[in-house]
Amino acid sequence: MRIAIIITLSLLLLGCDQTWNNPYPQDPPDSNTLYSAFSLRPKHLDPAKSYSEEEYIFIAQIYEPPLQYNYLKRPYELEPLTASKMPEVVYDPIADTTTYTISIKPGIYYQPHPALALHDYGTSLYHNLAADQIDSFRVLDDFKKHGSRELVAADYVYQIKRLADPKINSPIYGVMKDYILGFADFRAEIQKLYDRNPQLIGADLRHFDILGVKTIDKYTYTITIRGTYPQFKYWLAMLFFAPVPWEADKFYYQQGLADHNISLDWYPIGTGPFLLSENNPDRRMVLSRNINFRDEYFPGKPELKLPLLDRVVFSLERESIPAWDKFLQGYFDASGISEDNFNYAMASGGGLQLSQPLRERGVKLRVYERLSMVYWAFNMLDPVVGGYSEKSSKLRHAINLAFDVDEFITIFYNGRGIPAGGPIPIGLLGGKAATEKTYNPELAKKLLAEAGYPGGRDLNTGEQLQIFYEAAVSGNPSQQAELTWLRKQMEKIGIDLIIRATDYNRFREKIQTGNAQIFMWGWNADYPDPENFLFLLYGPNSQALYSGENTANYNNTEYNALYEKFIAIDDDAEKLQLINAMFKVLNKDMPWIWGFFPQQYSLYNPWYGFVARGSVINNFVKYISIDPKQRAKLRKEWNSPTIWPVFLLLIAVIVIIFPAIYGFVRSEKASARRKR
Amino acid sequence: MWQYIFRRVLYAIPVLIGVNIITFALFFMLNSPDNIAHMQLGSKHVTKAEIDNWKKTHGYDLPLFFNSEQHSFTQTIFWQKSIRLFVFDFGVSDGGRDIGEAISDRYLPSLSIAVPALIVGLFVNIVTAMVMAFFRGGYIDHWGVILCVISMSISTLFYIIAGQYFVARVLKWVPVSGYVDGFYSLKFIALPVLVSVVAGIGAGTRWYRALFLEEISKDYVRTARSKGLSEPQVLFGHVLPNALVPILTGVVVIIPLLFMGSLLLESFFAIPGLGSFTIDAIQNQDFSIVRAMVFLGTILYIVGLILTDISYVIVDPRVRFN
Repeated sequence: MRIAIIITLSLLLLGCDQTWNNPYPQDPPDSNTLYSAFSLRPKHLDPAKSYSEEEYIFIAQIYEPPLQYNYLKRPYELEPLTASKMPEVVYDPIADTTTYTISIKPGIYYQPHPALALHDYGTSLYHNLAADQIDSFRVLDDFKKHGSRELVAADYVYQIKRLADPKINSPIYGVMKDYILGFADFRAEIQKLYDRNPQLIGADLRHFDILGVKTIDKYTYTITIRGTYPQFKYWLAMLFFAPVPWEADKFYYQQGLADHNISLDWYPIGTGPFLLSENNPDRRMVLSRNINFRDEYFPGKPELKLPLLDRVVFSLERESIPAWDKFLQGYFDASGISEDNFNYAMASGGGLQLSQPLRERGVKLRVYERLSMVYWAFNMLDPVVGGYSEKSSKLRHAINLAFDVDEFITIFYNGRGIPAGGPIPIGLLGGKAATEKTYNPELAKKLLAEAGYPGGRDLNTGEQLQIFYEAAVSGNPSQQAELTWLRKQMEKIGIDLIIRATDYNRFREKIQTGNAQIFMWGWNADYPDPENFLFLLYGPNSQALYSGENTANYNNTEYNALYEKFIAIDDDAEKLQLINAMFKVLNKDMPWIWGFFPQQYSLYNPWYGFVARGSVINNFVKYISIDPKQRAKLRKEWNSPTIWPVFLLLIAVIVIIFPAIYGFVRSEKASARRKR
Repeated sequence: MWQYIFRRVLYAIPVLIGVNIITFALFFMLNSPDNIAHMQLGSKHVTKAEIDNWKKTHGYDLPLFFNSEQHSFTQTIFWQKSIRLFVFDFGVSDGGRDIGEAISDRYLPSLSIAVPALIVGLFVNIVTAMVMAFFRGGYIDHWGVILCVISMSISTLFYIIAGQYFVARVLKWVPVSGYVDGFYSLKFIALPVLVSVVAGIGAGTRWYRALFLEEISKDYVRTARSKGLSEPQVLFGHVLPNALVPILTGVVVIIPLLFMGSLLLESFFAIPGLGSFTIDAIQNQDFSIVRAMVFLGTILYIVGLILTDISYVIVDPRVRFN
């Protein structure tokens, strides 16, 4: 009886919130909190290491580089973030260097953090902890005192030094060493220090200087790069160039803290609108408003002070099905549309119309073009599909014409893509979609014959042309269908496409070593400039020869010369001319089958405010608003539990148990009769 | 008994070494240190020099099993990464996080699902099997076996998705997924436990039914009946205690492994347990976590086997340690 009472009370208590299925039982229902999901644990939260979308969603709200993209303007436009104005750029023709002078706004303060906590007499509180003290700190919240200080130019300089620190291992060191003066020498110097002191956790980088990076005054610093590189300004909007105070390293490098995962890679320290108040990537990550955040307003709306939210809760949701269910229940404010849910979400018959159930709920659909590209590359080093002869070019053109990219997008991407007309996505200078359908198997057969393979057979040997298609497979059934589709496309013109499916590691190794013929590849832009796509075909970036990003290993001297000219200029009209000239060269050689530009379909529940997403705008969370009252009301409406099945279940149990009880009683009686 | 346990612990050492070697060889057959570095550094702009630097910083620049330059087994990845495991120092993951801390954070969520699922499942399976054994040969038994076979043939994934759809989405009784600590955790673990129990009914009931039927055919049962005991008295007073011997020993062996969690359940219900930790590590090619989890799993399995042997001696007086 007592147990029954306890169970009943527990159930009543659990049901005390408005809905039984509420996954946030401890949160007030009308809090100004955004609820979102993440599917992959972030690996790094250190701005010098982090280089993926899954990590940027968190740290881009915390760290602030000097520049950002305007939230509303398209094409994307850079504007100052912590900088007081756009950088001054001066080219020195004698030294062949370009200097960027960046001034930051005064009065910007870091979030409260123990690394910045001070004693009453001014020295750092937690920088010289004893071993037994360190043992008592298990998480950052165990440090009771927090401090802050003003952001200064030296913090930006310090972070650039961190990019070259061999122990930090920043992924962009390889790119930056070719540009920033003295970057490689700086690393060599730090490496020597580590070699002399193998036990050193991290170097105090304040005592070393990079030739090309200087602090001019409290609010000004300069970066000097070799030659001209107009795209460098975009790097200044990336988190690699966000400030890190030296106190953070001094604090985190104390022996023993890393054993409790207390490191900069786990607990960020920034000046942005949010701070990471809960860091549990196994459950949830919570961003809360940074009380030290300066006055910043929504573009064009001085009445809207940023950030518009108080809190953002990201819950770990590995699988798409439960994430979708939670979106429909109103427990996630926004959602993508996975392949499994596409038919439920969108109205049949194509077009951009939501299904009836979603429209009735007031769900909003936004479609935006990602700055990315999916393409099929020919390995230009391959003796069959590669090379620059007329014959090999015709073979590649024939294969290109046999690929029905439209059909591919419709079948395998639910139509969420735009066929590409070149390597630059639409929305960027020179970016263009395919103006007409390129699919033409008859013309493909003709070109194949001219390439020496009439009917897909080698003119000399009579053997059928076999081409190997490299694929990284994950066991997903739709991937098998995709490969079968590709084979059938080639069969139409008589080519035997042999699929070489391997795991991703083997696949990547084959591409890196140039042991492939055709394969599918993709690229997400780092910044909104055509250069970030055109460089994928620049000869000295060949992946097999120079570990670059040119996976097709394309190397055409004419294209290379045009590209070199292109990257040195900053005039759009001139650039467009060069892009068109490069397209001509590419269309003749056809190193890629122009694939498509993927589109992102995002759904927003009715209480979600204005959205202007863009694929390079990572710090967008500060502009998001929601209507918490409407959300609380709709959640309650949508989630009242259905009780009647309980009674149905009870009846079902009785129906099942009754024959058993009846049989038992009957057998007992039968036994008694026999006994008599 | 202590002598026996000591002997079994000594036997465990070569087993652990063997498992370590096999794990290491299998892992590095599929993943080179370069691949591990790529996973950590990402795939954009990463040069060979950066890969080499990462390997050097994380100790993956050494030879795999034998260092021919230094004629040494100790200056190898295998030795450097494995030897500390034997003093339960799991080290740090390839991403730089402390593995021991992660394990201590994650074992409780795993247990919060696994323990109730085991207890409730055991109870349900035994009761169902007893009912079927009671009505052996009748239509309840007949249909019970058919339902068990059908239930066994359905994938656990189906139970998970169907459970989430009906219980959480249609009926809205519990959250679809998630986990919180404390009292509210009850409503998060209810559905995974239910799914786990339902998914296990078929196999469990069939096995226990077979054990009960085997016991029922024994002479002591006939003797009990000839004494005039009723069928329930025979079943619960005689058959059940004797059939519990194989049931309990079967359960004891899996108790330590409950710590390891369930890979599928934890993934779909977003339970931050050790099962999802292992899955993440495999996906991220984090060798340090994979070897730590395999090592831990092996130890727990060995502990389970030792406990099984001990439980045999406790429940069956005919069995001796020697």
